[in-house]
Amino acid sequence: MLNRLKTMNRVTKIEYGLMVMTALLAIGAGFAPVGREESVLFAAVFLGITIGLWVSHLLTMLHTAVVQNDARING
Amino acid sequence: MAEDTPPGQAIGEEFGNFASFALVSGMVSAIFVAAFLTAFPGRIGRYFGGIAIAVLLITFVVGLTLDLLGFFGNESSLTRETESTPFEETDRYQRVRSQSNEPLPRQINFNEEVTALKEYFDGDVPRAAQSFFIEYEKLRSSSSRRKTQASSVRSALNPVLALVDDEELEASLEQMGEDLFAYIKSNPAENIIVTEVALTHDGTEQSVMETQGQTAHLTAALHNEGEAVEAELSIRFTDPTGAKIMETTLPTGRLSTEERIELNTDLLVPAAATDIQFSILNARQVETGT
Repeated sequence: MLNRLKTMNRVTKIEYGLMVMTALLAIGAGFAPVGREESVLFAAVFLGITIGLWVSHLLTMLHTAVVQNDARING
Repeated sequence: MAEDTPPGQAIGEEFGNFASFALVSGMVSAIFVAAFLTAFPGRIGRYFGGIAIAVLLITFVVGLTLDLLGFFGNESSLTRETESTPFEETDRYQRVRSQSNEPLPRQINFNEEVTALKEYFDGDVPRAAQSFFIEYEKLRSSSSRRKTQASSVRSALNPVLALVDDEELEASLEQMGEDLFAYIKSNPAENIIVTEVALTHDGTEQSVMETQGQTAHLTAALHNEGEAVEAELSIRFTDPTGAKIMETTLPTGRLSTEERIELNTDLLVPAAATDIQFSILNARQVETGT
């Protein structure tokens, strides 16, 4: 798994870095010493960003897979 | 984003297969659920946890689709399974290929046809045709039981004939089948061809009639088109009615595959002889030591 991280392409590395960062911020916001409403607000925002990044990453993988599959079948 | 991906380095290769993909996403979701339930006890925490589980479900569905599309770089994926190593590089073929080869009689030497067939399949040899190439390599390396092996090659040829869709190649393969069949049925004596027989007397080539009652020098060239054999050359002098007057035999010694030898002997031509005939007797196959 770790050696796979090294061979990963740059775009994926950035995406994963952002995801880890926003995920930590989302969890951190839950435990942050701020009011409950602010805490929920920040956690929700950062969780939303994390999910957005992850779902877009999944869709990109799906798109790449379909393109590769087409290329394999047709050419 | 997919366009930026360098070839051969697809996004998603960080996951070896669907199992590791599912495991990692499951673990991350579990961490989220646990963290939110701890940070926000009560309703809010359950909402956050529910969202994390919903994302996990979406991830599983997309992951399964990716696996069906053969995206994960593992052999268990459905579409990757067909991309095996080319037949000529498989261990099975390399093993029979690496064995030392005994010279094949020309009758069953199909190296050219086999090369043409390999070119026809262009590295992508169908499973049904693979045994033919293997049996042929075995035929090249065997010598003691070559006829048995030749029948194996003959039977492995049938599925190949069904796969080939090129008239010229098909014709040459059918010819190969017939040659193999003829080889299987032939006996060792039939494979020795007597050529260039000459009777000489006083240094000049003469006919039987001219040498009647004299000592003549006989030379005969033999060509063994089959397996290594030992045999005897029978020389018969006959009268005009075809009746045998005198017969003499000469041992040929060991004749290897495709070997040509010349036999020389001095003999007395009977006075009444008008013709000379040759035949191969007592031919028996000899082992070549493998």
